[in-house]
Amino acid sequence: MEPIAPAVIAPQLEIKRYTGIMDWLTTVDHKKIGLMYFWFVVIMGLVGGAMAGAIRVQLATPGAVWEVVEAAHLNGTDVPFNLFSENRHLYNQMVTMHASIMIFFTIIPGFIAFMNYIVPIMIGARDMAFPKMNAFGFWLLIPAAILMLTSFFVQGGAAASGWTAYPPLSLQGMGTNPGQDMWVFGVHLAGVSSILAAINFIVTVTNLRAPGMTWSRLPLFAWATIFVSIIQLLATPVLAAAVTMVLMDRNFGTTFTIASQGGDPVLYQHIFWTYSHPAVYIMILPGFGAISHVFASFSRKRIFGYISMIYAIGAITLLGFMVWAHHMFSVGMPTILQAYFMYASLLIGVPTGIKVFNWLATMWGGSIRFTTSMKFACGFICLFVIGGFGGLILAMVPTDISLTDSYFVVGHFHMVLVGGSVMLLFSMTYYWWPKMSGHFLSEKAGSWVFWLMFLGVFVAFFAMHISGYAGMPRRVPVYYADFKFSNYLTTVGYFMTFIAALIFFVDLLVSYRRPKITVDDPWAINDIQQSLEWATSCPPPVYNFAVSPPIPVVEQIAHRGNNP
Amino acid sequence: MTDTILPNPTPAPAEASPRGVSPAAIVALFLIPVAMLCFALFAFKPLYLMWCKVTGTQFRPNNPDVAAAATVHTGRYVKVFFETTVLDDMPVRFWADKTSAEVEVGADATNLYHFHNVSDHPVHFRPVHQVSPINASTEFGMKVCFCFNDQVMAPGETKEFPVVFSFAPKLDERVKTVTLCYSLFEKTDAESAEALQQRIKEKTGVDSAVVSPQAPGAAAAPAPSTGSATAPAPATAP
Amino acid sequence: MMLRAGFLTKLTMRTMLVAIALCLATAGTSVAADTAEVDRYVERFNPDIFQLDENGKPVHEMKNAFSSPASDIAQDVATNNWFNLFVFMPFLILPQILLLVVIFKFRDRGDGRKPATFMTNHKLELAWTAIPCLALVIVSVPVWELLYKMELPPTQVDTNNPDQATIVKVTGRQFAWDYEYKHENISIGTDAAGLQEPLVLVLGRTTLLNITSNDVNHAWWVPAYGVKKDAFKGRYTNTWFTPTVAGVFKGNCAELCGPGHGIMFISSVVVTADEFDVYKSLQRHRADTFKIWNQLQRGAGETASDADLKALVTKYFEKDASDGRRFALRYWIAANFASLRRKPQDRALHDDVIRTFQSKRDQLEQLIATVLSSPKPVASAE
Repeated sequence: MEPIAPAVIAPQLEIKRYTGIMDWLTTVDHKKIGLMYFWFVVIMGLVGGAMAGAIRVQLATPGAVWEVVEAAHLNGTDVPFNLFSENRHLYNQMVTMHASIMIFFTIIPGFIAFMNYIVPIMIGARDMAFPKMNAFGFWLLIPAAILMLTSFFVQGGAAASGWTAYPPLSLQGMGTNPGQDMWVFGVHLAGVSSILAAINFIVTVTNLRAPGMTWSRLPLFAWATIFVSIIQLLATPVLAAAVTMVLMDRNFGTTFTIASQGGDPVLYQHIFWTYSHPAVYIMILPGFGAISHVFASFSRKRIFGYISMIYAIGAITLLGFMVWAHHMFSVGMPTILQAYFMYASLLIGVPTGIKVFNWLATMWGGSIRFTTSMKFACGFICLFVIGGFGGLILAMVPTDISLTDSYFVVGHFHMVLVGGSVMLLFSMTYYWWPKMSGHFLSEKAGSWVFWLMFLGVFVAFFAMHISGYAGMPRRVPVYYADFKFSNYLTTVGYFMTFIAALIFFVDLLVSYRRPKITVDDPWAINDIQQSLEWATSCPPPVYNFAVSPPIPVVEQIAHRGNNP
Repeated sequence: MTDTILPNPTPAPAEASPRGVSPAAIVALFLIPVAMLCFALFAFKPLYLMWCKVTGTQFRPNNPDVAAAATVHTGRYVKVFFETTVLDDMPVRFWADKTSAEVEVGADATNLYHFHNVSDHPVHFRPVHQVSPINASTEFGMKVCFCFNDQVMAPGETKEFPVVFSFAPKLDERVKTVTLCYSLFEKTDAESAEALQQRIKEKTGVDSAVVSPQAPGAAAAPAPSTGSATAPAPATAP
Repeated sequence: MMLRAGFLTKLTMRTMLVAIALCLATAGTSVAADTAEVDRYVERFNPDIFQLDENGKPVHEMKNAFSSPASDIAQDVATNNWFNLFVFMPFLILPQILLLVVIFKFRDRGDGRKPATFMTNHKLELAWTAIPCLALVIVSVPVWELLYKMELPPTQVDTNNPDQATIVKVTGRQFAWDYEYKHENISIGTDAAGLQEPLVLVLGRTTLLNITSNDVNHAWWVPAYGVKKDAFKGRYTNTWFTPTVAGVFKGNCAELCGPGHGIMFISSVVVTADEFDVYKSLQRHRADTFKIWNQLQRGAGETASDADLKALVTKYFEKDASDGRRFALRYWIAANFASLRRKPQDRALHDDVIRTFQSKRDQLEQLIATVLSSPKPVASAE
């Protein structure tokens, strides 16, 4: 197998207008933008994680047990320490902002960071199709984040109606408390940012593939990028519409969600979930694509079932648009609709299962090297299967009616978002960081990060499942004494996770002091993978490839080989 | 399906055929989000209302087919509880003649609702009705109701409206008790008191500001903006 | 207080008789035994869900639909859930086992073993597409039956018969619940101390809930009953279940509704039909006891004069001096004190309640005895 003779393209020289900080502020290079996304996400992740800390500390204080508070009242003793005892409104703000920051500023841009950096290189492009729009998309996130974070300091505090912002609660404080409006604008900006990114990715992957990079050779990460971009393109405007309804109802006298004027709060819920269920897949599908490369690389094999992987992602994308109402089984829906949404939701388990089995088959028969990246990938399968199993349980309407809006749901989506998406992001970081920065992350520290993270996530979120089964509702700052133990357990798990995140953060900073990587393929995997990002230097030069790059000759679809 | 590693097919030259998206398609890509936004903002609601109509989960369920259907004496009775709720702390007293009644499925039934504005300012509200359980609301129709329109009440005014409703004979066998509930929502885009009084005056020819609170008959006889509910006597089945 | 005294006259004669008979049967000669009987009912109808025993464990444990179902719906939900878990379990276990096998079997041991090169296996891929689909078909059949059942009570239950069904309108508001029994014409919500009152249901009697809200969205959820429904302003949602276990059940609002969402607790009590008849009788006389209660508990350090109280008590018994009415007065005074002791509005009042509760109660008991032993001024109103 010899590479195709590259078509020589006249090398373009880099025109550098600025240096230093101004270079970063004005750059349109997809790699620099990707790195800025990455650091933005790391910082936002720590902020959102700290908010989760406030929530978890509150729920592990003795004063969170309402019986104890009542007893203190009766005996005339001091109420035991309780972080939000004076201000439960602030607790609701914390819950809302933790969710908003983690969704809009951590997980979604987290994948966009890698899509920005890696996908153009993977397909042999010199940059994104619209580099300036790419930069614009990133810089939109900064005011969005500022709007959301500063809303804590305005009158009435930040939005406190949950990240779902259900009216009429989100309409309270109209005209006096701008926190909810700032939240809406923040969501708008983040939404525009992700729509612009989506358009950019679609055009980039369709138009800028190197010669010979046919659709059937496209890496799975690029495929996932395409599907995710489609979801973003179709769904994000719907979210924008939903929160715009709240904004207009609050400020401009419209009546979309006000029942007295012919609106309907349930209409908002339908529109909101029409976006927000597909959004769940925005938060995991890119990782599904990327993790296939990690499994294949460290097993020294090719990806198993390339075609079925693509179909599975496509099926998830399609089904994702058809199941939104499973978030609202308790609103009072006719049985026939409940049944439809139940069966459709269950059906999503099938393509997801296909992917899990394909990953296992990718590893089967391989020669697996357990780098930190691979550990995270394996940990992802373990946790994601547990989280997905919770999803199957929740899809069953009778059970869901008992468990919806309980801690079981919280446990479920944290298990798939932290145990899934965040583990994927860690795995991708460990895998591609040498390429992105030119320095290795510490494998030793990585081992600590992985085990703390894995056990922490498992303990924290499994305990949440137990709280939910026992009957604890979500978004509460205090609870019955019956839930004490599982809540303490969750907080212990949280601290393990947060310590892992801090170690990782320090390791990221330290990595820049490590020796520079001089080879193109630091993991020594590209003899089998034939992926373009490992065919260029670490980090790649500006404009990635001076000449049109060699295209992998190994077909993705393929052959039985020495099938056992 | 081949069993051997495929040789690399000769790649087509990059310029051989136009691939990817054309500039027009890129413009279309930008238009998709705009279209989706407009769809969600403006088209979603009518679609949603249609969905609600089919499933019976809307506010104010009213099935015109049921309302227009001829009376059928099925001999099957359901007990209907009449709920009245005033929301938003409005100064309105609102009650029904009967709090519950046995209603024959397929035939018309009537109840009389009373309103009394106990304040010294006009109130503007929207009556919203619901039928519980939702299985009953798809089989529910109304011929006469004050709830088809928003209502304005002058200070101290007293009004009464009949409601004529029926259930279709195909009502689920398991439904034996139905709750018909009216909630009065305050209209928040309230006109100024003067403007409202002016409008009442125009419509009714009565200056509500000077009508004695204890003389409801004078102001209420031609009730403003109530459509078919203006007739105080219950309409009969066609 | 959301009491509608006018409706209370609608109780059936039979109910009254049962209540009176019960009270007669339970009214002992000794005052202490008498008080114990009142306290027993206070504990039954007005339990303290936040009570901890000496080990710090809750006296009334949280029950949930899955491990301790308390209604027929919850029982079915639990059965269905365990069945689904059983069907789905292979899809949880199998990937984990395979993952472990892969991790230990195919680890790179540096022995120069060549990795496999297969990239597809159609039979396998078909299998792990088809088998999960089969599992979905298996779980979808029983769940459909249950969904149909959860929709409405079965045909044989006559929901218009108060002996077969309780219909309750549940209204959520920031941050408490109001209940209205439609057949019985009872309205309850918050008690004399501003505490949430429990929803009292009858063992084996089908309960239909019509749920609505006065302000923002709420959701009514008692886990042990296996039902949960959102409450919307002006919109009515409905659900039903039949309690199958007597006891005290705790719950909580399950839809974020503002700063007090976390303390928007729900309690529900399932009692026998006979006890519920007593409860109805108690509610019937409740509104008339307010004046006496207000006089008795005027404020910290204040004690009502015997003369004032006696006048009120006499007036109370003018209408009807039956044992049921007497029991109601004693019950409500005790129940109100019990609530007030649980939730002090302010420290001084609370200490006063604790200190003077027994003496005030004794004062009232004596008054009642005096009033009732004296010749009746007028014949019973009814």
